Amino acid sequence: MVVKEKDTGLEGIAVKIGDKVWGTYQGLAGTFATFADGCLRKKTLAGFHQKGLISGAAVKDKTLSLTLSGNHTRPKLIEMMDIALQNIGAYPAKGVNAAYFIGVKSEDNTKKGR
Amino acid sequence: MALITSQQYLDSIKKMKPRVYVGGKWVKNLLENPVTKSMVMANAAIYDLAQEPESKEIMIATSHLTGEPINRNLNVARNIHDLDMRQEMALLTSQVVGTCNYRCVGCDALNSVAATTWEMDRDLGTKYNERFNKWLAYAQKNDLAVSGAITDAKGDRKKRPTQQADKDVFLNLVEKRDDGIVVSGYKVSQSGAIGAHETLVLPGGGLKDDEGDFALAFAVQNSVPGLSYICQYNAYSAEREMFGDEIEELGNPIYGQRETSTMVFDKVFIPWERVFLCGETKYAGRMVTRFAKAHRMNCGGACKVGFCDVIIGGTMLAAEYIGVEKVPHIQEKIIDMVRLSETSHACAIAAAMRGREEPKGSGVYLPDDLFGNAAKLNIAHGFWEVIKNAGDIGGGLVVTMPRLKDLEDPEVGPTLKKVFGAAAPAEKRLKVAKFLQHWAAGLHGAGTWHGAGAPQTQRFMFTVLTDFEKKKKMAKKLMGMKEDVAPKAAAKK
Repeated sequence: MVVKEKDTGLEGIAVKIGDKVWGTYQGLAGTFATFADGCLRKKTLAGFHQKGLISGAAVKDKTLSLTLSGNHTRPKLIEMMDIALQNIGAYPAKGVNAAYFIGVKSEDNTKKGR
Repeated sequence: MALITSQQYLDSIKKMKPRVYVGGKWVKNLLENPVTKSMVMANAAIYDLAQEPESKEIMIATSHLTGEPINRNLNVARNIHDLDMRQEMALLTSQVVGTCNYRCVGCDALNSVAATTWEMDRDLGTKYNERFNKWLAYAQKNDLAVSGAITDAKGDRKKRPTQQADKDVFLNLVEKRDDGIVVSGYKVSQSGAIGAHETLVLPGGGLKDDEGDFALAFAVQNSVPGLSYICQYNAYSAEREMFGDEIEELGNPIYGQRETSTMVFDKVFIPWERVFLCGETKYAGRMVTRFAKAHRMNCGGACKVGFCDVIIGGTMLAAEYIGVEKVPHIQEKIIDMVRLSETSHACAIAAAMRGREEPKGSGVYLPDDLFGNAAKLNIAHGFWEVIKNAGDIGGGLVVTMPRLKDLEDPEVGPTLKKVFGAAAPAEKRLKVAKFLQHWAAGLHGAGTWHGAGAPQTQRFMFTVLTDFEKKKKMAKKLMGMKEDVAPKAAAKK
């Protein structure tokens, strides 16, 4: 076969809130770069078109630290990241070794998840 | 998960939030807007077909990359049988949805990219084919709906891309970075791009050496930041919006007319892993030509034949409902409709059967160019005749009918039932008239003319592909005419 399992060109991305990983995704290599470019250069979260949603974004090593404006519970943040990642071509995948991380938090941390 | 169900596709689409504009408003959910929903439902029906035992041979192929079963819409043809099943898929999907298989252009585009990237890697030592195969394996693994984007806006046709007042009328390179490229511009008339997971973008035509900024091919996710879709809007869009959930009022209730959009790329980032052509102008034209070669067989000789099948069926019902089905000139017109459509299908089958590996060694099979162009050119003209006959036999009612639900109006309904009752009840007559209106007074006539390239492009290809000198020699030989002698040589004699 032309594409071997060990050389599929896929990359794993983990979503973290605080220190805990809440979801892992897999997309074609370059997916994290696309996601980060959208947040940093276009100030847009894929799948969310309202302006001002991203109040902070920075990439260090292989981690994108993302701050979303407004109050968002933890479940809401998880749901938003799930939509954003699937809109950029990364799909939920269990048992994936994440090469990249997206740390996300709400700008107003007063609203805690239940 | 190489094959997903229609429900899985619909679930994925619920999460997809592309930036889509339809008739004055931005659409937040493709399944809540009646116009965009029709396009998505057509795609869902195509996923369904791959689950049905009787259509599996047509709809399912084996990935040459992984050996897994995959939807044929994501298959690279590796032999004659693949080409034949590809054109049969185009026929079947049109018969089932009566509109585009919105994964069709993507399928033909990926065959072209497979062939051309292999050639580039061989000639130039690039890694495009390796990249493309990884992208394709990923698309196959997730059974993604992939649309294709070819047609640039093109601007002033007297000017080359670099001479245009607005460079964006041809999709162009804005920036080349370490991690990828940034592109801007427009792709127009993109069938079903809004409901695709990804779009495979190709150059719009052949390019000269100094036009490298326009030699681009890449795969893009449909909701990537900077990408927007401005959808077509016409009387059929307005009608669908007006009727809302009362879709039974419409000519093609679930799947609608053909939905297209203009894709607007505003400095969109594409990582290198998704780039399959960047600056190699020599290969841009080949990529487009190979796409056209595949698409003219499928779009011209099979897809539109499927449309003709349902139009012929509707026309026969219209004839029966008014009791003229045995009138000789009606039968003759219906036979003409069959002749026109089946002639095109024969060309598509011939294009598949005479297909061959291109380039040699690539493993990619493409249809015969001449027969593919014949299929498309024949149906471009034939389709007008088919819908003309549908309007002829369907009668003036096709465009003068009242609403279907007027039959239930307490005041005018009883009168309408008397007016339009014939050999069948008024309900049946009006229903089939509405169906024929959808075709005879709809968007598919001009759509068929231009889809896969306007007929002038096929005529041009005929001039390139036909050996006219050989034909003249054959005629001369048969007539016993000697070869021409040059004037000077004749004078010496």
